[in-house]
Amino acid sequence: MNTSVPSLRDLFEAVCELDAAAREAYLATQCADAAQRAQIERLLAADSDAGDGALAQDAVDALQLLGESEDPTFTAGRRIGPWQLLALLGEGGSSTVFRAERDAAGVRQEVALKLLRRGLYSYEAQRQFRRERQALAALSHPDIASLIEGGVTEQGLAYIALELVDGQAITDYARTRSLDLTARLRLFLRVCRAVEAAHRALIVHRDLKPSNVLVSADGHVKLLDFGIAKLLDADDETQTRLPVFTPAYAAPEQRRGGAVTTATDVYALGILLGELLTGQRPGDGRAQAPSGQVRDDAAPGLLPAPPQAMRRLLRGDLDNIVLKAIAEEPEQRYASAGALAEDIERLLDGRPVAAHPPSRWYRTKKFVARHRGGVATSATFLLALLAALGLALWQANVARDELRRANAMRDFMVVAFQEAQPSSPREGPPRITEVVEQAVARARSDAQMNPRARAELLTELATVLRIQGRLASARDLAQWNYEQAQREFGDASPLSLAAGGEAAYTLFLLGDFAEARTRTDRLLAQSAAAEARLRSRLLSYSSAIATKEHDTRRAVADVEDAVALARRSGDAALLSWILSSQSTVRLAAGDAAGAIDSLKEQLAINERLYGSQHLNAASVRAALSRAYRRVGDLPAAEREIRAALDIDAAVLPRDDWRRARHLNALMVLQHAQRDFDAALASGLESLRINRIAYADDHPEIANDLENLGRLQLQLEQPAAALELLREALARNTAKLGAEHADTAGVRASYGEALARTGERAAGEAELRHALTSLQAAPDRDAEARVCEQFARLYLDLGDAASALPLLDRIDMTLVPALNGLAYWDGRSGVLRGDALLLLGRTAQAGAVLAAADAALAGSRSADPALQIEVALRQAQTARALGDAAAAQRQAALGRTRLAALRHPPGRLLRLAAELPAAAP
Amino acid sequence: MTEAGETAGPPQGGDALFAAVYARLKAMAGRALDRASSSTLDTTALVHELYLRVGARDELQFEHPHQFFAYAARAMRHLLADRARDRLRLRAGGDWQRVTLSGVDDGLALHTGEQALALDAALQRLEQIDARAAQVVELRYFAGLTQEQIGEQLGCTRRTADRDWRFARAFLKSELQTQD
Repeated sequence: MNTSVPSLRDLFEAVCELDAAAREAYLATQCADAAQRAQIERLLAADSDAGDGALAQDAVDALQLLGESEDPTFTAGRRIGPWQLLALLGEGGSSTVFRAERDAAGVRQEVALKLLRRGLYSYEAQRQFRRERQALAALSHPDIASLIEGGVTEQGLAYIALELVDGQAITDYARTRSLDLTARLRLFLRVCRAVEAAHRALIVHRDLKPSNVLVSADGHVKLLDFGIAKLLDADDETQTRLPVFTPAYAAPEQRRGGAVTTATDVYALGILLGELLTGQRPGDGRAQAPSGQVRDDAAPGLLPAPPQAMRRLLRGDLDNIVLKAIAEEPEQRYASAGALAEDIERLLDGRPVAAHPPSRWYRTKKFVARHRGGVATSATFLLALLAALGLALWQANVARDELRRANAMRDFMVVAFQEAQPSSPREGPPRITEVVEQAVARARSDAQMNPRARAELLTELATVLRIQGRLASARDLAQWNYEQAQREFGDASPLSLAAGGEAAYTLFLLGDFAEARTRTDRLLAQSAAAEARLRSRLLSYSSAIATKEHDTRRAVADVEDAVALARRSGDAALLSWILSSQSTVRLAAGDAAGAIDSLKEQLAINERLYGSQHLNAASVRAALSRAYRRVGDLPAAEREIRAALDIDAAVLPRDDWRRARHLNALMVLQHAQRDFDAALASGLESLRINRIAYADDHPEIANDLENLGRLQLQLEQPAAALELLREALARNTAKLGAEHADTAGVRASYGEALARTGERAAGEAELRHALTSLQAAPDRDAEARVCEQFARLYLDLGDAASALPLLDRIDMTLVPALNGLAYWDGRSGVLRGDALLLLGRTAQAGAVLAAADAALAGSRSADPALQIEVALRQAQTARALGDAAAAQRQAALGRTRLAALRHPPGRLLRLAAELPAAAP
Repeated sequence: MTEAGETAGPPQGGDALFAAVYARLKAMAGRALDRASSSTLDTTALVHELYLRVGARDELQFEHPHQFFAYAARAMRHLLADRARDRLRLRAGGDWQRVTLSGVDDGLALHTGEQALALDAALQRLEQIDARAAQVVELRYFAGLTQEQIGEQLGCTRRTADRDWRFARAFLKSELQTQD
């Protein structure tokens, strides 16, 4: 406004209180302009009129007088120009959009038809509309939805036919696909380039916003409604129109009704970029930096990186770029969309961006970032390097970031929990399971956590719970996680399969072999051949299940395949784990030598990965010890378990739970060496540690009690055994249920202890109970062992008639179901011979014992006590048949063996004593 | 390809606020005007109701209560102009639109529509000459504030607000007469 000339208001205020003459005099000198003079006269006239005219009316009254008009209703089939309307797509403030089609020369064409809500009534408005439409039709760019046709109907109804685009708003696209920073910037770059192309054709969009920037499923950008805003503006009510724009994306000059230029689109692009990066639109003119808008509670996928990292990434260049794009004054913004695009490109290349004040420090930082290898890392540069590295590294690795994040989390959890040391007294820090359960709760409720990372983490946590013996919790968690993963990623996603595998394996450990089998087979069928690691794991589960199904062939074959896949995957840690599974399977299949081979390979891997003085070496040595024991190489078994315990002594506190495991292996070896006193000491130490290390209801404690009870039975101390087994039974009943197979095993020993302490009826009842439980369980081996135990008890009590049906059950039903497990070779024959002798069926006994003897001689892991017994029973038989020579020979053999046996059973000592002495 | 209206999310700043206030006012006005007792409704009451509703929803946070009235007045102005435009379109419209006209005097409605648009245009011209005077009109006419409240709202004295109003009133009246 020209300040030398008084404004209308100045003049009005100067004269409105004056009388007519004074006004005339004042205006004559101060208002030379005739038009202004006329205007001021009109103002004064209006001022003196008491009525308020249109202003007297209340706005709401006016609204009521106008009444409410419904939006026009269209029906499918209605024609607009050449177009036939098909369906309503959406309604905006100034237009309604339909899907429409036309049939041009036999070719059906579908478009998005935009109907302007306001008619173009004047010739001038229609002419301008057509002119704009022609300019738009000339705009051809692959990333801009093209204008196909436009026109004005006879009723003055303007329409525009646009390319029909099937896509998602760019912000939704980025969110639903959790795009990382680089991907978002590259997508945005395409948008900038398309806008730039339009600007070169002198077309301004005027209404850029996410719903106008679509991305198709295959990642192609399409800009909608280019220049349409201007077309919509081109009506004949220019004086009263409401500008067509979306307030949240409109530049200040647009809101003020100022000139719209390419800078207006740059502003909208800046807002869009801010929204794409933070999920929030940068503030209204307060120019809030995007890094200040990152919300900690952002929905999953909204941010390209976790909030903390995102703030760091935005600070600096990205903040500056957005702020420059949305500067209040158009001339302070980027000159064009192309200039904005170039800055984004510079950022992606690690070159200095124009949006940054070009200080020397800044340029140095950029230079160092660009030439990380070449710049000498003097102290000064080192600082610069560190500052620049955060962003540079991140950009280099964005694609791998999610994976890395998940791996880091997984590694952390696995290390934290698997290696955690529950060695503190009960009042000390929380136990592993407590920590895990808290972590589970947190992971399940954390809405921000990346769903993939969550699925992976929960699978690991279920594994830890499983390892810690919380089988029911592990099963529930694994199952929940599996269902969740199936919903989110589909049945065949590796994440789902891994989660499902964990659930299946836990079910297996809980004894539900049938369900575990069904699931594992299904998962294997769903898993792609390429997923070597996953399939390897699943096959090893399948193998473990097959072992319990006594399908030895399948168990061996599956674990063989698992080993091959693990080898191919190149994952040494996985191969180590699978080899340990293979050794277990081979042991169960009676192939202890094969098990030893697997374990030797595993030991070599672990020593290479972790060093020879590492726990992971110790645990393999402990397993090797068990295998050597099974092949009867007790010296080697002893050597390995001592080596394992030496490592323990060097690297573990005395009260560590893994030391208890190894002591257990030592105890079993000492038991095999019939060094029962030493075994008792090892078992007691193991129990002491486990009582400290584990929650009171951990199965390991019950297991120790059971072992000690059995040892006491072997030491023929049934009273001591009874106390231990009573506690073990109570624990298993509480933890696993009264009918669980493990409970039944303890119950059988408890029954034996009862019977041997004189409570025969009660003992028999417990044994029968145990057998009933086991009949319902799938494990025939356990049932056979209890039958044997029961039969032995009857024989010791002189009740052969009760023992025989049990032995029949072993031989006729149970052992055949075990596919000829080596353990049973000759075992029941020895007992049957004893029974037949007791019943006076001597000849029959002789044949049975001879067969048992042969079987035991051919067995690699024969029980030495049984070998003594079979000799002594054969001596007994020979004596009864009158073959003194044979009796003496067998008795001598038995006595020689017996002399070498530590802790000989009283039964054998008594038997040897009553047999004829050696030949004179 | 839906042209989705910018639905109100969390407050983004002034313009999202405006969109939200406008949407709410539009919905409210529709319901309020449909009511049989609508004769008792005036601008002050409607804006007051709007204030209560908007205030009750904490996702619409105004930095200052005064900010609300500026938004409400602007929203009301846009609403009135929109309605007026809809009404006038009938005059030229073809057979493609169906309009509910229950209980509305057609002639009066058209006149009101013309007047409302003329006022809006005049107000735009006033904005070019004297933005604050135009604001006084908005707050008084479209938000139903008293001169006292307007003074508070704009951070000026009652006397200044009165002087603004006097000039604005004279300007608008003279403009509207010129149009006729």
